[in-house]
Amino acid sequence: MARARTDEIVIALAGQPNCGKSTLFNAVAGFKVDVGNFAGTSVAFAETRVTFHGQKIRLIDLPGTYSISSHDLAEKVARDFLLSGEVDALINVVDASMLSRSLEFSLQLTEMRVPMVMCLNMMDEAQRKGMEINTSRLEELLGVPVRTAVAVVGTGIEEVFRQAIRVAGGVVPAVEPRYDNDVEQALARLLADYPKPLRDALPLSERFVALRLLEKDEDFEKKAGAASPEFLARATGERHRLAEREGRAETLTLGSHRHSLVLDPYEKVVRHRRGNVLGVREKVDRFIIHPIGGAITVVGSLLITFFLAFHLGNLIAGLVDVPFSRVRAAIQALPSGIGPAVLIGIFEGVVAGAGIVLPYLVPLLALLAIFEDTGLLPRIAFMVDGILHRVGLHGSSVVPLILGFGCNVPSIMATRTLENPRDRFVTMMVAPFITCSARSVVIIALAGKYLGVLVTVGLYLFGGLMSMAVSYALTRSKRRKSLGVIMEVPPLRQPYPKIVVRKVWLRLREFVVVAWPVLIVSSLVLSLLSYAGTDAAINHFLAPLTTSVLHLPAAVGIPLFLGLFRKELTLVMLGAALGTDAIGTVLSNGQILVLVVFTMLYVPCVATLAAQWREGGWRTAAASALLNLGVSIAVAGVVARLIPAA
Amino acid sequence: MIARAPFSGPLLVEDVVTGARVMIARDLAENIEVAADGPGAD
Repeated sequence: MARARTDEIVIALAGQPNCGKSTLFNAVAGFKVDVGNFAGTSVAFAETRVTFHGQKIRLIDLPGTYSISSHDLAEKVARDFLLSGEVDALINVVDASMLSRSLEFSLQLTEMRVPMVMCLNMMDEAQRKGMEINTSRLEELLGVPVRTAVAVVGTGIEEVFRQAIRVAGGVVPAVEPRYDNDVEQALARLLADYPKPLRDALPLSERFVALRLLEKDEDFEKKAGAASPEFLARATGERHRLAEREGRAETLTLGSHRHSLVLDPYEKVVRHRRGNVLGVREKVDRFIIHPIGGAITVVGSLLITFFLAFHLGNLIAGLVDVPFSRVRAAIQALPSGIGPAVLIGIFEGVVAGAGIVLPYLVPLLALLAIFEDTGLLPRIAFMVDGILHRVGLHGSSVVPLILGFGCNVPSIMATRTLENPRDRFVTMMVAPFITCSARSVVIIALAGKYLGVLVTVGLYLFGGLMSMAVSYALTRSKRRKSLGVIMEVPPLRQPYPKIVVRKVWLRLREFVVVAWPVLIVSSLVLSLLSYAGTDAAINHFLAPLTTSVLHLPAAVGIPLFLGLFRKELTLVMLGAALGTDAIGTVLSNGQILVLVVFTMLYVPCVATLAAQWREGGWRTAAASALLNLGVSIAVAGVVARLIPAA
Repeated sequence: MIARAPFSGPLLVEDVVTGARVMIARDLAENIEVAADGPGAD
């Protein structure tokens, strides 16, 4: 991407997953990207333009990456941008409480010879662990400015950016990390005769390119092979010799040296004040990761979520309904005509958003945000991974699927972190079966209200079982030996109200700006169709599904069809289609159950399909839509026949 | 090692230096050799 303006500088935030890059980005840019206390929340880079003390900045939030050697698509996004030559200054965000591990990536960044500032984030967490970090000494050892911050509360951010602007386009790291003699001698031999064609093909630090080749970086090997096959052959020879001398795999030799290299500065700059004391968080953590405690936590979290979302939702819905009921009575008293039909359509759309969706959506999003920020979700992933493994879902599929509880779209995008195409395809097919917040609103508002909290929780668990069943069926014929999960489990953290509120607003804004207008237009269309008498024709067309298979009134056809655009529309349009908001007076409990099961399982929404098309091609999107439709018809059809009242 | 997940799930291990916790599948964990000494170590 070309730079837009010459008076603008480009600053990129780079660091390992879950170190707080997006939190830092949001603190400067306003809350624009989603964050969570687990690795893999960001899979694409976000950018914004800000002016800081008169300096225009194009700020880039790169996906978290553990190493310059990219392994998945998200890491490749970060690496490609870092190597694009566009960056004027790098802010290397580091989780201070995990300094020794983070330094390996920092070391690779310094090898790129790009102006850089290190931001030691989460200093509060480091202090809580009893760590004292000598930042001046760290500056000397790395040769880059080091600043401290606690991004979630906004501490230290200004100084980090002030420093980044100062170094932008100018000062490169003063100190070059020196490996041990074997590596340095190999580098010296390579750099002594560095070919010009390679310099032209890869306009980067020569030492950095040589190090990439010594680490068997395939991308660099391809480019070096094309520019100078002879140099590539020499680099390969040096790598062979290093690996043979140390008896290690070629791909691991340099990484092993780098690991040793960072231990030295770490030991020089970090002191631990006290031993490892078991605090309240650690005790809670022990409970959660215990098999019994974990099961209690999973079920308890679900119960709390539905109980609070349902009761708070009812409370808010009741309060919102009061001012609207008088207006509704006045509109309904108007004589029949196209004008009142338009008015009723728009009014019901507005009321539906404010009185039906928002009351349930807000508490649900708030609870989800709290769960994400505490770090509970990766622990749940830890507890259920064994089961997921047995149904063919492997390790890294867990993060995309967890994201699906918020919204299926980021869940589909997060499959970029999966290296194996088959795992990616299966996860993309399973993700739409995860009950997203929009479908949760339908479940809570219908099942919670008419069938009780226990049935609601049961439905949620049923949704999870369906996801697993789909995975099992898809992978049954082609089971393969999985590499297994390797996933970082972040420390339990206290959620910050400010971050939770902003996160809820970020997700709510999507509903208010995108979905609510769609909802109002749909309500208007439904009202006009009803006025013209054509709604009956559409419902008649869908009757084989609604009445014959699902044993529901034909009038639910249009609400179910509109659910393809937004799942909340099904809920909202149901009242209008059935002529009353008291759904329980028109549908039996069995019919409500069938309706909820079908809504949970059929195609989530067009936005999810679009994401599948973008990420996996139209065949994946079409296969997924057909799968969801087939499963929903089969399962809801069976439920309709098992429950006599339906 | 901190914990074992049920149903033959992963192991939760902690790096004693950094406090970083990582879940690792059991099959994979069996093949990991923890070396106390690396190149350059004293």
